[in-house]
Amino acid sequence: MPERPTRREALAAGLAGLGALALAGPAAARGADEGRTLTELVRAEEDAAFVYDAAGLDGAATTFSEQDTEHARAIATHLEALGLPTPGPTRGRDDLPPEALAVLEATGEQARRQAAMAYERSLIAGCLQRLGALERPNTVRTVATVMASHAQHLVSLELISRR
Amino acid sequence: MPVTRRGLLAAGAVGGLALAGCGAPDDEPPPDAELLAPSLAAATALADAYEQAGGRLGDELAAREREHARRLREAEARAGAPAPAAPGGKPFEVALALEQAAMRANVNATGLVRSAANRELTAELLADAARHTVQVRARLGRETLTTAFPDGRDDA
Repeated sequence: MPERPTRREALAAGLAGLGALALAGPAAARGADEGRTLTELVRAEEDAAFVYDAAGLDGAATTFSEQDTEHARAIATHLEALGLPTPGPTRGRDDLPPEALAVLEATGEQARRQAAMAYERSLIAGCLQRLGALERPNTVRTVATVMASHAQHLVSLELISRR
Repeated sequence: MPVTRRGLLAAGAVGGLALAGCGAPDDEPPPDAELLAPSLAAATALADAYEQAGGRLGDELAAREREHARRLREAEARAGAPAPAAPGGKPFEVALALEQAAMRANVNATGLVRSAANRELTAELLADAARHTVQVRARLGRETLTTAFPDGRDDA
């Protein structure tokens, strides 16, 4: 059985594949844009699953982590349909974006929840900003529902804060 | 990352909704004004339902829905589409069913509209409807995060 590539190897192979696609003409270049975008989105969801696993946040963190893993898998199916490798799960804090690190580094439950809200806002913005790079209706819909799920995570955190 | 059967089902389920909403995949989609019409009908019905519900939450969400309707009219959504069907019952129960209909309308439209602005609009309205379902479910004492892919097809 072939060994699974590491996350870094998958990203590197994906970028190499995207480069080849970009050299093959305008339609392929659009596919390269979509592939790059989907790779970033899978990685963002894997990061989020890691953060909520590690953050020790009271309340809905387990559900968030499970749902973010489901998001990553669903988006990965669209990436695989383009023939591109998918990034593996996030294993550590290296390369996490600042909003994700802020959740892990916050001290106290209230501060951690506030950081998680800011993180969810960044995930929503990340999906919204990338919608324009997607070509296929079903891919757009998957990313839009992932964005909607993060909106649910955000309001759940707001409701917990008000208790 | 191994793509599991569950992940495939999730991506396929959203695709299935797409097919249900627009006929054969090769069909030319209708104009944006038509695609946005069910979203406008849902937002209008929701504004009425939340006004009926009243109280702080009802008033807040009624205002949000009026704002949705205003944005959809600005995007030239066609008026006059039939209001989505909703069961009878308490105002927030009715609103929850209408939110599900709004999500289905917005998911369908977001994959098909031609303009980038309308794609963003319908995605934002979908996200807002998903937020509202959590607020209303919490108000009704129900489980709030019922699916990783809020597209209006989970049980209200």
